[in-house]
Amino acid sequence: MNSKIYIDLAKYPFLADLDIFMKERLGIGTESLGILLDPTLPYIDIAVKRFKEIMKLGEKAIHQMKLLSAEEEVFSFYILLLILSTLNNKRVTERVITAFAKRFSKFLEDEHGKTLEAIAESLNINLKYLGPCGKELTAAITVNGVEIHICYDYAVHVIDYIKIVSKRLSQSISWKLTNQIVYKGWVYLDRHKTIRFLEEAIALKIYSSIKPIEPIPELTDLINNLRKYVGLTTPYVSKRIEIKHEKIGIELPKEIINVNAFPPCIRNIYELLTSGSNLSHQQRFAIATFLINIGMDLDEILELFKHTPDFNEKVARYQIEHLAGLRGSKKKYLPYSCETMKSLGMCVSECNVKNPLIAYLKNIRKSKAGGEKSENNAKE
Amino acid sequence: MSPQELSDISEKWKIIKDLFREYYRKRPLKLPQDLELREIAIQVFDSPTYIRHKAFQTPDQLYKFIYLKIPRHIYYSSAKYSNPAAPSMDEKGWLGSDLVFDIDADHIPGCRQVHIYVCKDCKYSSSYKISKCPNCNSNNIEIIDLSLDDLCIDLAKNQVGLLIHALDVELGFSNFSIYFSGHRGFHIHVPLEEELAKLSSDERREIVDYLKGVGLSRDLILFSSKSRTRKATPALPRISNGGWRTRVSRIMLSKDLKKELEMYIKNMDILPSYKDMKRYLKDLNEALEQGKIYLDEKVTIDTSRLIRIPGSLNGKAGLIVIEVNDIESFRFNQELSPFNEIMMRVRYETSIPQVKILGMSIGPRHRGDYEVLPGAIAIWLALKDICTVLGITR
Repeated sequence: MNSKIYIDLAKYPFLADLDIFMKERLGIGTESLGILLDPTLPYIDIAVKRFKEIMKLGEKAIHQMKLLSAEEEVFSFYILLLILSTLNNKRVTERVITAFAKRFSKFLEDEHGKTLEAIAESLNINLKYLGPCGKELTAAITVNGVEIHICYDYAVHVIDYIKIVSKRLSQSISWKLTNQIVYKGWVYLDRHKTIRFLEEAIALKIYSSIKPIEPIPELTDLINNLRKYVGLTTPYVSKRIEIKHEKIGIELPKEIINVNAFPPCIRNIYELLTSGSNLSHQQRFAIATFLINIGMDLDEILELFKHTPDFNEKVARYQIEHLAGLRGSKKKYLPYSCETMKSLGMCVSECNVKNPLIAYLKNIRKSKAGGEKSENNAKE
Repeated sequence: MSPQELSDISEKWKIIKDLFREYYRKRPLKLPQDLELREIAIQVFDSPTYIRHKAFQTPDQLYKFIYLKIPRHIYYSSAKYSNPAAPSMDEKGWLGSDLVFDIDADHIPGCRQVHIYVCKDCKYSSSYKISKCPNCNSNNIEIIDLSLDDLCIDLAKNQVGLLIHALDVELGFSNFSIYFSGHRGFHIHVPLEEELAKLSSDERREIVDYLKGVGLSRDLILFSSKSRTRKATPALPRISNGGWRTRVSRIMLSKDLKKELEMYIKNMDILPSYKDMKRYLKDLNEALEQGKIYLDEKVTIDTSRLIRIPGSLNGKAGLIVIEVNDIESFRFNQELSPFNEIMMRVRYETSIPQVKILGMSIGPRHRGDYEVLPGAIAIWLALKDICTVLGITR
């Protein structure tokens, strides 16, 4: 029972404490983090190559990733986290983490129950390996009186279970605590579910380690390149919006979006959109043009449209960029006027303005005059 | 409020306030060990607003405050804070919260409460729903929960039974206390320490959903995929299966079952026939409904909830928030009041129909009638603005 369990950090680099690992392998700790970025060392290349493959192929990219040495895996993994922190884009982060979590999950499939237990422990999760069919239930009985069994090999403490699944998984009924076998504070899982559970725990752990940071000097060029590579909005776009605003004579606070200041008609569509309703063409036009014109990042708009049931990233991206004047006629569209909104039956309240954008501006000003926090919001 | 009105109000409550003061002189509160980390809040008799963001280092300091203010209601926070007296949540420094459950009889289907509809302007009352006063035409109508059936309390006790079993046997929380709320329900406190106390609202919601059966899938609970062929039937759950299968098993055992099935559910090494298993599936569906616990989810999900201090008096009914050691033997009667040994002379301010309160039948009475009532009943009615207490006849 006391035999030591060996966890291969090459397979699970997120378990390595970077400072300790660097000291062990390089004789210096994270105070000399820059050394990992030395272009003569392979780590940065591995990280960038993997990053690009994932952006291109998604989860499929993991099949092309060979298992390298522990140094290469751990150092390149932390460089990748550094890149994600600097890029600070939800969509990119999610894509990379989802793919990596799948990769780790594939490794977990080959591990012994006791190793899964140890990996869980490193993630602060109380998981017990019960042995093959450690808990057995009678699921059904045939006409001939034969029992059909169901087996559980693992149990996870109910609080740890809740902490992991309540973030995302419990939206699916098969993960809701309600439908689990929970006894004396332990949730019983089969091997397949245990691995999926650990995959989620790993993804959440990685998410929690990504915090927005300023690019470190050694990485500035690389980050700019990667920003372009993943199609993140360049400063060029913001400038363009600025010019437009000057032209119609209103100056909207850019970048910081205050949903509470949306006029009721837009608020209405926004809520429909985020709740996953299927919007009409006109509703899509109204909300997209509005958000573009108040200066929301195109990636963020795309993120919102992911809620639509018929979402197709390529098509949606093209349309949003088209409305933003980045494609085709290079004309940037304004939202419908209030008059048009009325005739389309989308106006829900009389705001006494000509365009929903003006209502937004007024609300922002109002909150600026009355609010303490909004002053910061108004500044870029 | 004019000075005259204020003095009328304070005159109206004088006797009851004196009784409450006398009660708190006995230092009856069951206070948490970490009192200094809890926010204390009260409501007094003379004003509807809360006095919040109080904190006390010692019970002595708290009692001093109580004697000064004579609270009608007194609460502490389910949360622990590094600075509980700070006025905003941001500044309080949340350290974690206990897990609290609230079962209110009036939220349980089948519980019938006796309401009366009272015109706040002329005190006209009716047992039937009115939205306008037929006497003075006022729209200022208040609904008063005059009393509740014994059945309501039985239903609530049954729910508490389900809940504590689920907490203990299913979720593994064996350390909890049950309190009568001092009116018409029960509170269950599960003290949580350190990391456990830091459960977020979303995480607490997952627990509530589990207890209430939100998202319950019959197919998943019964492993229907394993019996999809016509030649198999889902097996009845057994008591030690876990989760909703355990809950449903307990409910099945309360039904009229064939001996063999009962033994099977109780985990004995016996296998009932296909036919018997199939026969009881209908009861099983019913049991899945009966296993849903009617909790007030807001109370559990809110990590900064104010809860009644055990041992205090509930200012809606005058009964003690008392610890219940055995829910089965709990009785809803006048002994729940510390004032059950005195008699009081009251004047009715509102007419009431015949009604049973804390086991005693009273009424019908008319506005302006006088009566001498047991203290528990007199205070129950006075706190509901039905009568004014004029004096004590010991």
